[in-house]
Amino acid sequence: MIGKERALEILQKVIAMSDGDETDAMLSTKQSSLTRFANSTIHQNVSQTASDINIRIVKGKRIGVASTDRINDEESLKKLVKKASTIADFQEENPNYLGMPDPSPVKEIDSFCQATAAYSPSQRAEAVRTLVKVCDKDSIIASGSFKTESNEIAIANSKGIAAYHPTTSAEITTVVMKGEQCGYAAASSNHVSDINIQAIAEEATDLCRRNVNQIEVEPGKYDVVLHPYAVADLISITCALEFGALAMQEGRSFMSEKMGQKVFSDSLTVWDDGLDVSGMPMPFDFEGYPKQKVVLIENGVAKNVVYDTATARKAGKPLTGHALPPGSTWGPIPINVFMKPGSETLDSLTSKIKKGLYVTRFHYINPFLDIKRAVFTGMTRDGTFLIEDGKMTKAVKNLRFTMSMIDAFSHLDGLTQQSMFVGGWFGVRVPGALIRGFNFSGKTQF
Amino acid sequence: MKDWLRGAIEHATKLGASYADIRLLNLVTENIQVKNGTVEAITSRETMGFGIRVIANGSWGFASSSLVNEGEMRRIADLAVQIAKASSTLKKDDVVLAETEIYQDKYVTPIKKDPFAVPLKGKLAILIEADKILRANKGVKIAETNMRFFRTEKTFISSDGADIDQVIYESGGGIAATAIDGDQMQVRSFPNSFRGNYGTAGYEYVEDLDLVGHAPRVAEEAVALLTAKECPSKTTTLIIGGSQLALQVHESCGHPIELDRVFGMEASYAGTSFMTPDKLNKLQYGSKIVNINADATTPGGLGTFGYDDEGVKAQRTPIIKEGLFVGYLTSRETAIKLCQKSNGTSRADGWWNIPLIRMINVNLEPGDWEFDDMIKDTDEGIYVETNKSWSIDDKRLNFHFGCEIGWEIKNGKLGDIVKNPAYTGITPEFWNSCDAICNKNHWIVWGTPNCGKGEPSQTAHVAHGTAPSRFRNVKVGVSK
Repeated sequence: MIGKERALEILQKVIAMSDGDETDAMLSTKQSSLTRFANSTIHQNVSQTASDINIRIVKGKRIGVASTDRINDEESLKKLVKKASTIADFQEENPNYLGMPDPSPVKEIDSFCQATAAYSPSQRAEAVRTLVKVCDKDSIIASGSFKTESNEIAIANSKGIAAYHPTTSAEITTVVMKGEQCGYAAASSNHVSDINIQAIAEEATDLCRRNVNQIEVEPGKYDVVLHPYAVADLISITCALEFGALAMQEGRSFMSEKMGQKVFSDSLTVWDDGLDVSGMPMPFDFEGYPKQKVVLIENGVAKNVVYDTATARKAGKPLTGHALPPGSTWGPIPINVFMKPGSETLDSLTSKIKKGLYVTRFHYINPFLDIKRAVFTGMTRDGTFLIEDGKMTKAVKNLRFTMSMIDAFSHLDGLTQQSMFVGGWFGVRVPGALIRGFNFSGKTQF
Repeated sequence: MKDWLRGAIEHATKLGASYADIRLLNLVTENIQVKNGTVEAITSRETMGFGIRVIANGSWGFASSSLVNEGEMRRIADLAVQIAKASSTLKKDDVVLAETEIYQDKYVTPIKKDPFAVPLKGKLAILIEADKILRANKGVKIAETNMRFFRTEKTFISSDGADIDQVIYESGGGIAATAIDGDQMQVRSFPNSFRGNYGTAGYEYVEDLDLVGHAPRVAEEAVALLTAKECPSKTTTLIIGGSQLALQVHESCGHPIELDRVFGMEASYAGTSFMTPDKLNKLQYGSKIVNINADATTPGGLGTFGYDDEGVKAQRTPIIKEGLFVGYLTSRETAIKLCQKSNGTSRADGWWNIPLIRMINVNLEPGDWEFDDMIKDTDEGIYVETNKSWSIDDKRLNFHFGCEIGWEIKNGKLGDIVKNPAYTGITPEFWNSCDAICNKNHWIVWGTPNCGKGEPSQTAHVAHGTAPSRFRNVKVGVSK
């Protein structure tokens, strides 16, 4: 961590060196440590200290982008600026470039936790020992990872933007196994003290104990109860692919045709909010513009997409603060996603199913089969159960699903009251869900 | 600089490390993307740093930093030893490394044209011309062309006495046309999807791709797919084009033969493997004509290098011999558990990561068929090309692939185009149904610069040599 003052000082220095009409720069540092365990022992244990500075120089509409990790070396910074400037000189005009954002007040959010930043290898090892101890009681084998990380990001531009945000994160995931049985649990927070290792261990081992003597069920349409882990996978990928303005403007997203239409079940409401501390907050985007809350889906109606400067100015819409880092051509995407909870529990959702399946989580989802219909395929993993007459009765072998998410979430028939933050790049906060007629297209052997 | 590296190793040893190695890397990348007539991105990135890996108290520790100076190297060595000692509080057995030959050597990728010395203007001219041709077809809504170049300079020094310098050049590129009509979107790519094809080579690799020459066909096929009929759902004969088959090899053979994965070391993330040691030399993985080798010496392959990141020399290892499963990808730590030496596949993504077992060039050896003869010999089926989607279970048994395009095969002839072709199966059943593989005239090494594995997530550059091949009784058309 180099601190706000030093970070912005370096950025102002490189911006001052630039000969462009407009310049912005982004500086980030990271101290990341991860303890990985398998077969109930620590087998990989790593630490990374890294920094990066990225500069974008614009001459007219010609853009050059360059980056280096030598943030404290004057000569390297000069070389960086020269490289970006030279690239801009060689560039063609980019008609899609519509300027950098103007300064706008950024809300300060405290998501930095000193205890997380200072968490030591010994503390992570101790936490893993706690987890393994719970597993050992039942001869269950533990594997997983425990990461603690501190980051800072600073962004400035020649129009006056100067934003800085330090943050920390802690994340644990575990897969526990006993022969063919397995279970899973995970937790993620800005504050390492929020991670309850004992509870994680008990959740995973309880699932593992119940996931025994898996029977084979035939593929087909089943009513399903999805744990928040499973919902998180489906919702976060759907939002990233379909709810960005560039994807809509280029016709790559179903939002090109469905904006304003009732697409999903009444009970589906999804929004993006980079300021909500119950997620993994980030108060500004990678252009330094403050994040705005954007409702993506309201009561099943496709309401909005998120914008960066280029897409907002092209559409004549206000910026929403969802730019990705310079050089990215993907366009803006929602990265702090929340899904409105309902009033049920996982048990009460299960009780509404005559014959169906309970899915703990999915594995290896691929969303590229048919992007405009949001057709995903993937496997179930780490705890799939048969539901009969409103109760989970037997563990089942894993199945492959292949289904349009438009169809899936238009058959949403209940949500849990309790939502859960599920980690990822920035993670999502989602409830558990009941979906009718979920399509399983294949099966595997375990 | 080498004195600093040796000093860090000595420092780690003094602090109690029984083994230590250090990798210093300087990675330079250039990425050029053109989209719909606009140069969307020209980015240049340079990153330099080092990583120190130690065994202390019988356990691993690793630390890395982008601050390259003598003092920081000592600090990181210290941290790596501390981390190893923390690891050792939860161990069962000491880490033991398989013996390996110790090298002091240099390796440089053979190239004809340094891609970083070629002016941007020439690179842009190719991409802009290809883009223009793609967009000349009015049905194309999005045209994308790109090139990427990498130069990795790395030095590896170990407490065993290894001292190896390598410079690896990688070059590649591709084009793609997207046709959109209402709620339909179809993409065609060349030479492969997801940004083309890559190899360890210089700029000559990109010139040889002839991106401009292939642009008219790519555009035509993307547009034709919009009005093509849907791939039928049935069980039939499937002929798979080279680039798609490369991904099939990657997912259903390359990953399950990673010995760390087999031993459960990736269980919590990517999963484990059905190819367990009890199946070695026993499992009939494929039919008698299926031969797969892992070969880090394949000329120009994206998984080609001089030495892996444990200082083990690049080599060729049989994996599947006449259909029989005979070998794994190994590291020093895992090979010894099978009383073997490492076959040199332990590689790290950048200076900031530890080496893991990664695919190198995992090649399906060519057969003896001409492509036209294979089609003529097929009464009924589907021929598919170019990957669109991929998914496989966490033991690598049930897979599902979508492709960009397919053609019906009827009475020994290629017929109508079909859209949204997809197929699914179970790995050993699928490879045992292989009854024809095209010959070396059709064999191409397909580079994949985005193979993910590990926590923290690492991306490896790997490759697969393949030729179009035929499989019987495959379930196709499962895209809904």
